[in-house]
Amino acid sequence: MLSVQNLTGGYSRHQPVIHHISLNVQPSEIVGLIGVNGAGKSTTIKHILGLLTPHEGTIEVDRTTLQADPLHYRSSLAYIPEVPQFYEELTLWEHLELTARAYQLPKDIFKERAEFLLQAFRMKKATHWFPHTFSKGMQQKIMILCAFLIEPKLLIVDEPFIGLDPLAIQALLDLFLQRKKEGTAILMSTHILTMAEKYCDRFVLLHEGQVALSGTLPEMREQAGLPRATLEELFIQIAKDS
Amino acid sequence: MKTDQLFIKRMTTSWTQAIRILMMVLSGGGTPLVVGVLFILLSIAYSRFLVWLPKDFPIAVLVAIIISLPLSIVRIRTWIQKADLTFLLPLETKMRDYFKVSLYYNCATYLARLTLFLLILLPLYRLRFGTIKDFMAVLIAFCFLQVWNIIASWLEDRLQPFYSSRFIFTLFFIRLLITGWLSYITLIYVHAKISLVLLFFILTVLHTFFLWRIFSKAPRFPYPWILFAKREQKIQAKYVSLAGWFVDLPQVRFPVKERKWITWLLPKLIPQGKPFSYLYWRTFFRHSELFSIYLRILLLAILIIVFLPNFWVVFGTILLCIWLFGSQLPQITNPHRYPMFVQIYPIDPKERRTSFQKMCWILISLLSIILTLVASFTNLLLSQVLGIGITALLISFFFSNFYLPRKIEKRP
Repeated sequence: MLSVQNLTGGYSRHQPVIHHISLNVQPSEIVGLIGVNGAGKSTTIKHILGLLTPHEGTIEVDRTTLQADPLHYRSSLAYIPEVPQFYEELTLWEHLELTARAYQLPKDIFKERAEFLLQAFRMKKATHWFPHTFSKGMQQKIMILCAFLIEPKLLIVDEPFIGLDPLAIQALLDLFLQRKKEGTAILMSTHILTMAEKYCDRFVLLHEGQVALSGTLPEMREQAGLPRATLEELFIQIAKDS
Repeated sequence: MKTDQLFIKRMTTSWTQAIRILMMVLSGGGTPLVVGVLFILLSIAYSRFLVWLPKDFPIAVLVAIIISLPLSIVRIRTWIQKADLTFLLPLETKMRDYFKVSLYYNCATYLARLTLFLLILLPLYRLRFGTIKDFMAVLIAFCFLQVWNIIASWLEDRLQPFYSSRFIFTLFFIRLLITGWLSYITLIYVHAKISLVLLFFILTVLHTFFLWRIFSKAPRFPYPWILFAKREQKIQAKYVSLAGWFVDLPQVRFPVKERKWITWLLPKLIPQGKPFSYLYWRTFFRHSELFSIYLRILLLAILIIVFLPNFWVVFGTILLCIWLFGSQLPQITNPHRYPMFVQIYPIDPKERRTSFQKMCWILISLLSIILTLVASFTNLLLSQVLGIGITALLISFFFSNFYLPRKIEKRP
């Protein structure tokens, strides 16, 4: 579903931040993108979203590139950002309605999904409120609701658990598993490694803009030569080695 | 830390910036010319109004109502920012000096504004109320009323954290009624009945005492920090928006006006199946300034057309309105004011332009139609009105479909 091959890029052509990164996410798979702050996770995600242009390498979503078929590329993916970004002038319901229009969701499907999501994340009473009155957790829920509303083929998630209460975290994890079961490919960047270890099928550990380790947990243990290490221990080992 | 110095520093920085922007405005293109023309037009319209004004028209009541609003609606400027809720909160007990200087500053600016307003009123005063000598007494009385309103407003602000908004509004409403009534008395009787002058003092003193009694029962802290920070943001947005008519300024976060009735009204009024159309229309109505600017321009133009029904004046006014309002619209499409989602939606980039064009066309042509209709009720010939209307619509079409879209494409 997502194929990143030999990606080099960054904000300036003279100073690339990520170097020769390759990763894949298959349908019905959750891949954890992990690494210390500044490892290049957000830059990689921005390249996949099409907000930055690669200096080198290719990115394919659902077997097409952004240049070849921008509409298909963009309609195949949804994104949950780390920091909630919302339209000041729109209510929660209007955020959902705008997302549905942008992704051309039929009205009946939109209403059915929106009602379900509002219920699942206990946001029903805030439907017609403006997000600037929300807590950070509630603002993050807007991002989650909009992303799940369109049921994309590829879901890119950047630190989704920050600010969420335990009930919302559980609802989000349930949704991840449900979407995974229905064929969605999920690329999740997180620092909560215990959660990643439990829910991700494979991992890509970035360090200083390069892939340091990748694969399933046993494969990564083998690559690092630490046969009994947890994900957290692998993470710390890679960070220390530098 | 001397908190009064902090206020002075903030105020000086803000004024330095304002003067710099003003200089940019004055040195830029045809702005002084436009302002000059507008000033001359309004002066002529004012003198025509004085000639037209019937003798039996209750002008004192009208002026009392008009003047009591700016007198009562006091927004004390403190330059308190959102970050102060973190950094200045530990200094709360030492903020007395900061707010004291702020009150002096507000008194000075509000009195300057009042004096300007009364000077504009002077020709009308001399025509209908009294002599220059009487006017000086009126000026002093109104200055007294203004200072009283500022003090009362400050006390009301301080009560905000402890009382309901309904209670605070009731206090304001009582003050507004007293101000309106005293303004009327000042205009009519200031040079006649000493008993009413005495009443003037007694009423204001009594009200202040009443307010002080409520205030003295309330805790001294906290100050209404959130109220001050929000107010400062609104004031800045207003000034930036005003300056935005003449020069390009960096983005300032504008507070949202919820206007919930729009949610109900918009789908009925405007075609907005397309996502950008949906977004832009809501931004137009809920962005704190744009919709208000539209109404203000419309009102001002109607006044000019009604009092100066000359072919060229009407035509020039409509053109000026199209330019003044149209130049505000491109900010709606600025991608920096929206989250990055607008960049990743699966939407053809052309749709952004067409949605913007359609919105501009509806708003600007509606402005032209309303003003042409107003002109049709004046003494202009039908052929002149038709000529103005058709030309205004053609210009609106050109402006919405060619000039403004090109302007947003050129944006860096």
